[in-house]
Amino acid sequence: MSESPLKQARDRFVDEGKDRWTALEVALKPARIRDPEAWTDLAARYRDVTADLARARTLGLPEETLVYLDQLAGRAHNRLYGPSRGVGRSMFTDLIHGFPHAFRKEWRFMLAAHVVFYAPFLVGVVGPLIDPNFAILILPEAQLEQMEMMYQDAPLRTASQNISMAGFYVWNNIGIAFKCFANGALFGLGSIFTLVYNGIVLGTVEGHLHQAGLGPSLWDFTVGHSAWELTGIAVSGGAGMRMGWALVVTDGRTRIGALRAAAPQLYRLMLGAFALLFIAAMIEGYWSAGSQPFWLKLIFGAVGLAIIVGWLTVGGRHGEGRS
Amino acid sequence: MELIDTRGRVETPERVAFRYQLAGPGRRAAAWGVDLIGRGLILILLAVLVALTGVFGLSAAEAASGVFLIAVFTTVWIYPIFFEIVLAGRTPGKLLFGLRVVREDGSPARPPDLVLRNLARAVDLLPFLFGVGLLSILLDKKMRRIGDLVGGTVVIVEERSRMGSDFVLEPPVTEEERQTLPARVALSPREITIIEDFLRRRKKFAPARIEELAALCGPQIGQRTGIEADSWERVLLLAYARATGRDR
Repeated sequence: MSESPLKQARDRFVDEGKDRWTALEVALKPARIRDPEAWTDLAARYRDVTADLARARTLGLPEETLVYLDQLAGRAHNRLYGPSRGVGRSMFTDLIHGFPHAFRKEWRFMLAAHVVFYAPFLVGVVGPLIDPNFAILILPEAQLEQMEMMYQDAPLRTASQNISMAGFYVWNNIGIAFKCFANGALFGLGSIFTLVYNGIVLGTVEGHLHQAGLGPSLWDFTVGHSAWELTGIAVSGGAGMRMGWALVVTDGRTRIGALRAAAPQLYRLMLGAFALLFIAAMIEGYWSAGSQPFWLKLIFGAVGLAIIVGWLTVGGRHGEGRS
Repeated sequence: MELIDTRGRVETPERVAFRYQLAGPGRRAAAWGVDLIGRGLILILLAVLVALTGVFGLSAAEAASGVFLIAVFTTVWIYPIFFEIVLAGRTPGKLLFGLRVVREDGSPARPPDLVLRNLARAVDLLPFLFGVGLLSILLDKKMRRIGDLVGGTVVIVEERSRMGSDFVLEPPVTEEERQTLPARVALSPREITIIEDFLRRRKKFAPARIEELAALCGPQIGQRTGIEADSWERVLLLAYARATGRDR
């Protein structure tokens, strides 16, 4: 019994194509392709397979074969058009140059985040000075007393306690900042809430402790790392607000398109926020509770602030790390 | 009419479109579960080690607890970012379930995309157990959670398929059946493709479901070609056998 012409055409197509397809699979095997000729060869084989794919669809080949060719063409396509830059190097550039550049480019959101964070902070600081009962409105009394105890005794931390606290600050503070950013996807409201909440709580603790006469030991502890930590929190909140803004004001794009347009800046801002908070955690863990004289801690804090301001104003001005 | 399809399309500069299979919430949850268990086990092991350091005194235990907290931070936040960058879009859980994160256009995801999609996971987890993420996956045509939208990524299933393998007509056409078959059976190329896909895949279904599927087009084919058999599945198999000239 003779086979139908269509069946014959399909079988012939697969017979002829098989070697080409296997050859492309082999060409895709190496993890790294350095030889320029190998790239040219790969491109040629890829073009052949895309032609085969179109022909396979016309011939109505079984789904299994179509899926196979789809995937083969997809893999080759990704190989040819995929990224080739080194991960570590580009991440470093994005942090050192890209972050300050993104910070200035999105200065409206950075400014807004600082206002949204520091305004409640100031209210928290001033509140207890005007009305001693203010702090109890914001925080439970037990927590306030616990804070007072911490700064009253202010025993020197041992080296092992330093390690323990540094770990805690990395886990707790950076985690809060990341969540603060992510919640910005709720049209920015999540980030604003987190900034206001953390601003008023931190401010109230400072105001309350100062009013309780613990000001000196409080400033002694916080002066070294505040600039790093507070800037890091404000930047992640600002990045979250930028993300939420893209969902509201789309500049004629789709909402998702507007989000994608903002993504390179979001990425660089969060790299920066991570670096700021990580440095803050290390200082808070290993330096801030030490017995250095206050003037030294003050200078240390001032130098830190100068580094941050300098980095954010001058960094990335020469075209590196821009998108 | 637009068919319901869980495949994305990629248009290349060569003006060829190829397709990829999007991953659904079930498979993604399973992969996430595997990663969760893996991370949990690592942390439990570390916690035991930290507890053991108590033998060397209080300060050793304190230092170890600091290291432990860094490890918690790393497993929660850095683990998925690290693996998706190193394993080209896959965590160990995704690797196990054949999933991969790629850009929406099907090209490999870049580190910035992967960092953003994993940082934004925090909002997908709200209010509990991936509530927002699941809602987003169910509403979005490409089944993306919020993190995918921010990162510009989709999660795909990598089918490890081989090129059209040979398959046998099972059970083969008997001599008796051959006598009763019409001399010529005309099926369109499209019909042959559909029946062939059906015959290849039917083993995955229960017998009742196979017959149910065969009944969708069996009656029309049977009526047109005059083939008769005791099940619609058999009618399709015989029609295919005659149209392509195969016996087995």
